[in-house]
Amino acid sequence: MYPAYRLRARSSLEHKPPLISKHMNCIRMVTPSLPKIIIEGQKNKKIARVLRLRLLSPGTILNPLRSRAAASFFISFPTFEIQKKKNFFVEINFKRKKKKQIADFVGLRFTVNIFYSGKEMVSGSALSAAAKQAEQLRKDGNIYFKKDRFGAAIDAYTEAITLCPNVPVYWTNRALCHRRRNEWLKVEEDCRRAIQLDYSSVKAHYMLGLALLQKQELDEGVKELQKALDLGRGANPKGYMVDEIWQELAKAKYMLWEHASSKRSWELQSLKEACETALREKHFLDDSQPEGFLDEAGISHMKQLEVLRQVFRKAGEADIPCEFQVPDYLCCKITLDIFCDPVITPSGVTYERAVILDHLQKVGKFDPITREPLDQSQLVPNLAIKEAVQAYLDKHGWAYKLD
Amino acid sequence: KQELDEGVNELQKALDLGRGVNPKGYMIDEIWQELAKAKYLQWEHASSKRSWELKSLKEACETALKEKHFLDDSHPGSFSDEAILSHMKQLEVLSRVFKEAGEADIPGEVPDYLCCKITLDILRDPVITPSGVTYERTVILEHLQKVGKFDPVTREPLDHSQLVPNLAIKEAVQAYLDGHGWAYNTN
Repeated sequence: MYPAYRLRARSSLEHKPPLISKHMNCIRMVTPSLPKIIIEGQKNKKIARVLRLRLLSPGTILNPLRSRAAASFFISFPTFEIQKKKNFFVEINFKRKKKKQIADFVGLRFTVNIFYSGKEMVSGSALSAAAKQAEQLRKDGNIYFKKDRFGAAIDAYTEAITLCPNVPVYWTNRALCHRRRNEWLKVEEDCRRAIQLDYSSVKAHYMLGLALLQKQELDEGVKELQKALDLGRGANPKGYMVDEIWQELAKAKYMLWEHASSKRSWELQSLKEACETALREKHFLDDSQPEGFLDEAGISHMKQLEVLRQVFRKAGEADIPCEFQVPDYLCCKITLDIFCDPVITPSGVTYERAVILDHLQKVGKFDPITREPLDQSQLVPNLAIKEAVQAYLDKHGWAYKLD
Repeated sequence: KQELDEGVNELQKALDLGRGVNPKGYMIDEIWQELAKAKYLQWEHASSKRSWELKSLKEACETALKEKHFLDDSHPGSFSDEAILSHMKQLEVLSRVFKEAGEADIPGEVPDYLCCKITLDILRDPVITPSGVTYERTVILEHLQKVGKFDPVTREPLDHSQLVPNLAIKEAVQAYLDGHGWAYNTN
């Protein structure tokens, strides 16, 4: 498929209808100069026929085609070459079915889909000389990058940016070079600029996240990585980047947990000691008769300390190393690792999607545990377990560590 | 109390045997109800003692810390801001600690993923549909019979033969109940 532009134009009824016929209405649209034009009309029963479709461009006249009377119409022009033109106009003339008033045409909207048969799409409204040069510089930069000549690549991208500062791809490319050179401040700058230009750029959010992590801004970094992951998954769930982003996100969440957990453990420890000393002192002061040390007051004090110890142990459970075992039902039956994308088979067993697909392809088309026949179309995403895994990770951040 | 434990064991055995023979038999439901009630009693018994212990300990700690704070402070006239803040923080962490420790005993909210999407009750025999959503078996069967042959949440076409037992969630529910016995209360 070719990349496409979409343009919308409203019929402007402030202009007087052309003198061709009093039933005519005319729309003018400005389009970028690209070879092929397909014009689609929206469903509007009032349009009977497109009488004439003229492509107006200095020095170029095309043979117009006629459409059938239809609610929605579709006209295609033969491909033609427009050399070195900046803009051209499309004029559409319509004839109304009946002698209705001009008011009927209010709010008429047309979508112009323009398909560019070239390999690269230039964003922006004109394939100007500057844009062409910038594209060439980008290609040069890409070549330098492949050869690991990052300095030269950066220079090429910088020139491209100077020529066309509003193209997000140039900024993300340069950010990638900075990343390879570990110049994280520059990565951050370039990524932020790219995001300003294109909020949905997966690479920009991803590298920004990494840069923030380098600065030890863990919360912000994790947020950016999460955004990159969501955007990436939305665009293409099996894309090569999605895996990488997930790995980095897991690492970052583990760091976040480690950070929070050591702080928590310290808090808990100091509080525990404070409580113990406070209780002991209180007991000491309350205890008016030294001989009655072993009586009820003494026993209950010992019990108190024991329960206290239990309480603090339970509270610190999420952080204690010896409790490090993810429950069975949250782990894949094949790899024994915590789930990332759990799927369930008709036998009721849940596996990691990538692993079971691998098994079906390489070992055989059956369920590994029950040995019942199994096809990949029968796999159902186990959303409840996915939620359970997320809840578990939120509480036990140490499980993010991937070995 | 010992008899209570034995009783629970017998009921559990009965349930397993019954399920093994005929998972949809009329007795299964009844046995399950009795088992749930018994487990709830078990939990209540153990937990009331525990929660009393925890509560009294928490109060003792709070008073002890307050007194200590009072005594530690050498200049009665000028309470240092720092000391007050750290004392407040101590009490805050303390309440958090006791809340966490009392999780097993204080009734809270069962997590969403362990509940049926229709009844919002904890799942007992979870089944999953081809759309990926999990329901209680009896409830979804009733829905299919009375309302229509489609998934209640995604509205995709659904037949009762497509329902798959979600064993992983069943295990998850069991683990949750073991740790939070108050959830056995089936009211």
